[in-house]
This record gives sequence, C-alpha cells and structure tokens, in this order.
Amino acid sequence: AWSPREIQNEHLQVLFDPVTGLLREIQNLDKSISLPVSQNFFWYNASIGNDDSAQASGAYIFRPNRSEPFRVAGRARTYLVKNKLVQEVYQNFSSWCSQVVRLYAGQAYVELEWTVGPIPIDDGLGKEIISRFETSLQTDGRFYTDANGREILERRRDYRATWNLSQTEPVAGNYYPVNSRIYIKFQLTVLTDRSQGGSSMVDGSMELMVHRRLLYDDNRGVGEPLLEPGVYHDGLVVRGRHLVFLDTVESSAYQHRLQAQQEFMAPQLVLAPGGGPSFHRGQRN
Amino acid sequence: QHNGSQVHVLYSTPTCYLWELFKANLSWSLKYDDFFPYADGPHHFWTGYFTSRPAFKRYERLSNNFLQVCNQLEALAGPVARMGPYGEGDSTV
Repeated sequence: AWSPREIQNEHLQVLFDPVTGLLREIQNLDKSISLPVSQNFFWYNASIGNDDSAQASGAYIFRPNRSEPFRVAGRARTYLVKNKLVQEVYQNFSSWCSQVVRLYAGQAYVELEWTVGPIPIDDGLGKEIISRFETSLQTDGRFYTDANGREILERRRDYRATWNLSQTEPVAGNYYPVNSRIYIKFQLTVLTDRSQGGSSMVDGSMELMVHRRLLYDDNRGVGEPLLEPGVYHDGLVVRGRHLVFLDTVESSAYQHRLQAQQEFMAPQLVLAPGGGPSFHRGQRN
Repeated sequence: QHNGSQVHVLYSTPTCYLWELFKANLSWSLKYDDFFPYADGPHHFWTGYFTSRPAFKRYERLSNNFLQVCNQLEALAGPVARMGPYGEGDSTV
C-alpha cells in the first residue's frame, strides 16, 4: 500500500515512513534544522497490585505493572489531504486510536490531533494511553515542564533536588504535571491543550499521557475505578491537540511562549444570520 | 501548668502561629524546586490524576477561555452589557 512521504509549508517539512505511515522526521526550513523524530501511541498495563505492594492504578495513582508500554500498532493506515490552506496526514492506528498530523499555511508548528477511545477493556486489562516522541538527542536524563503554565522547571530522571531518592516506580515516579508544555533540548517542544501527565523515560524521548481507563479503585477515598462510560456506555472518546515545535534552544522560548498564550486565550467564534447574498454550492462570488 | 507541665497549649490560628515564627527572627533554609511528584509511600505515586478525566480537563480550559472573552466584552461594552431581554442582570462581577 502507498503511504504519503511528506507534508510541507513555508516553515516546516514533516516526513513520514512510507512503510509504517508513522512520523519520521521534522525539518525547520527557516533554521535549516532537521531532526529524526518518530511518534507513536503506546499503553501502559495498569497494575492491580503485586507482591511489592497491593497498590492498584486508579483515578489518583499511576502504577503500571511493567515499565515497558505496549504499542497500539506498529503501523498506521494513512490518508493524505493537500490544498492551499492545509496539508494533513490522517493516521489510523486502530479502531480506537487515530490522529491527524496537520500543517496550516504559515504555521510554525506541527499540529497532532489525536482521538483516543473507547479504550477497550474486554481483555480485563486497565490501560493508560500515551503519545511518545523518540529522537536520538542526548538529553542526559533531563526534560522540562511548566508550572501552571508559568515558569519552566528542569526535571531529571530518578532524581530529586532536595533528598536522595530511592526510586520505587521507574515510570510513575518520573511523571510530572504538564499544564501547557514539555520539552527536551535541543529543542523539541510540545504544547498541550489541557493538563496532562508527561515524562522522558529514556534520553531523547518524551511522552504525554492522553487518556486512561482502569478497572480497580486505588484506595484513596473515591471508592470507584476510573471508568468513564462515554455517550454509548462503551468508554469515553477523547480528542485533543499537541503542537510540536522544532527550533534552537535560543529561539524556542519565543515560539512556545507566544503560541501557548494564543492557545490559552484563543479567539471566540460567534455566528449570526446576515443580510448578504446566500451561499450556493459551487458559487465563487 | 497547674500540675508542672512545661507545655503551654492555647487557642490560635495559622496566622498567629506564623507571626510567632516571624518574631523568632530565625534564618530559614531555601527551597527552589516544587514538590512534584507526590507519593504517600513506596509505589504510591499520585501521578495518575495529572491525566485522569481528560475531557473535563479540556472543558475547564476551554471554559476559562470563554470566561475571559466574556469579561473583556463586558468591560468593553460598559453598563449596557448588563441589559438582557428581561431587564438588568443581577451580576455584580
């Protein structure tokens, strides 16, 4: 089957693997930077408790039963749209996971619009879905997350600034709140449209948790598992956007600060009937 | 202290307690980082709720966006913004 190889605008070119349909490389044409980046969806298998601890993953607590997540799919079925306003690659990973990779004309970031759900639980396994970006950047265990959309804090894997950490959860113990952005140097930045959990599990990689569905309560008081039924009672479907910037360390802040503000205080659309000529199919004024 | 106790217990508030700490004129150590991720024991990391209920998290963010637009339009329009089809609104904000 044929797959699209690239989409492009004035600022960016995004390359795809023709065999797997996955994102493969991003090029910043203004700065002549190109970075091989693969992006895919994975799921952590939620713990229901084990010999180390009876703790289960739940609404509050994240506890995967193994550190390696499962891939949702090794390849995506793709569909390409190109016109004057937008270039899009539709990626279908599975019946419950898809994404549109989008470049609007003049836009300095890659937009990834993900749709996840209903998360299947017929196999009796709770699932926590992540979008993971993988590069070969030497990040030395360091990544950066925002504090309530304001200042950026440096995070280091398996490290605490104020005490000697004895890590008991290699994945959950390295997750931090991402309210607006996460990045690794040099510099791949992801802006989110809502608060999410995020981390960097290995050097050069970065991930955001987008959705979770769990079968057991985590024993902190709510007394119910995190099982959002959704409209059809088969699990909630969620759609969201990740805005991806590739730029130098020096000029990234200028890019992501302004765009984060534009996302937070976005224009509001209001429609009203007007007195002008009515629209007819095929009409071009 | 009738029976010789060295402890003095009294009714207070967090503010009064802080005032006494301030008056003690001590030097305090500095903290530069935050307190994430929180864990109340080994394997008990409270990092799931960063993502839990993602639809509500987006709904809240979008609602804040809408509220800011409403506030700006109300400030821009002046008192007329309080006039609705059934008379003046009761909002005092």
